[in-house]
Amino acid sequence: MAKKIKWDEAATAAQNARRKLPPLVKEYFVEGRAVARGKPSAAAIHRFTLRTRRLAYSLELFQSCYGPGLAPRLEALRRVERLLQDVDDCAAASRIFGKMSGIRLQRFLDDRARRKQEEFRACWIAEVDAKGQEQTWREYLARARQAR
Amino acid sequence: MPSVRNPPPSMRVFALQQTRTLLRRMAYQVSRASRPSGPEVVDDLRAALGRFSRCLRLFAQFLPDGKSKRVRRELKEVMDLAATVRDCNMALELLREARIPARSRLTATLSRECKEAETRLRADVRRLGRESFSQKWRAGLRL
Repeated sequence: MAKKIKWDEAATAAQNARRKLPPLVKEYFVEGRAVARGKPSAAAIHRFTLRTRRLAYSLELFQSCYGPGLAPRLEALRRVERLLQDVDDCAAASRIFGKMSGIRLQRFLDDRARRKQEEFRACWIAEVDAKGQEQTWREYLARARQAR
Repeated sequence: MPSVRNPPPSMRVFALQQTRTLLRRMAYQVSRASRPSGPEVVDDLRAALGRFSRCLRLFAQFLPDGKSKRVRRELKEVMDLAATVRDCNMALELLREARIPARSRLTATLSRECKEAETRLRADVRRLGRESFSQKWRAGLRL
């Protein structure tokens, strides 16, 4: 997703969507697996939160090329984004509170971040990246039709 | 099958249509945020700014290069101000969740910072409105 997309000006929006969107999703799943299965830093969580949001915004732009099947996929991305945002918020709040944050408040933030990260991990493994999901996403995005 | 009478729009036409639509939606949210409002208005503004910014980046190929970058820079300024307001609201919410008393020094400091951030954001979106940014950007981006 970090790479600049070169659109084919001679092709329609649907033809471009069919060619360019599945690779975006492939990259997204690779990164998501690393975040969900590893021990990501606060910075990595923040980056993946932004990636998730940007992917959702990119797919939304091509909504007119897809049927109702896109809505639950966008909803899944929003759910992932909300969970990651909750984790990211704990780190941001900790920075905002700075030295004014006591031990009790810091423990509250750490516990909350751990809990939310577990929720994200469970959601990613059981729903978003369940067996065959990446393939289903890519096949779905490769079936874009003429923009309405 | 695309009909002969109504051929599918080219990628360029499609990209410019999407950009126009998102600019219009963003202008609406900027206008909403220029009046005293709650956290949900700031959230809607941030989402509209983010969507438009993403669109500019994704469809940069179809937009005048220099202008597109300038618009993105201006967007970033508003996005940063809106993010500060959102972060303050979020931090206050976490203090409530952690049952930190509303009269604590931390809550008072943060509430004050939140109000200041809201004032700065409102001033900036009002400036954008006064400068008729929507018309200017539409012309500059040749939408």
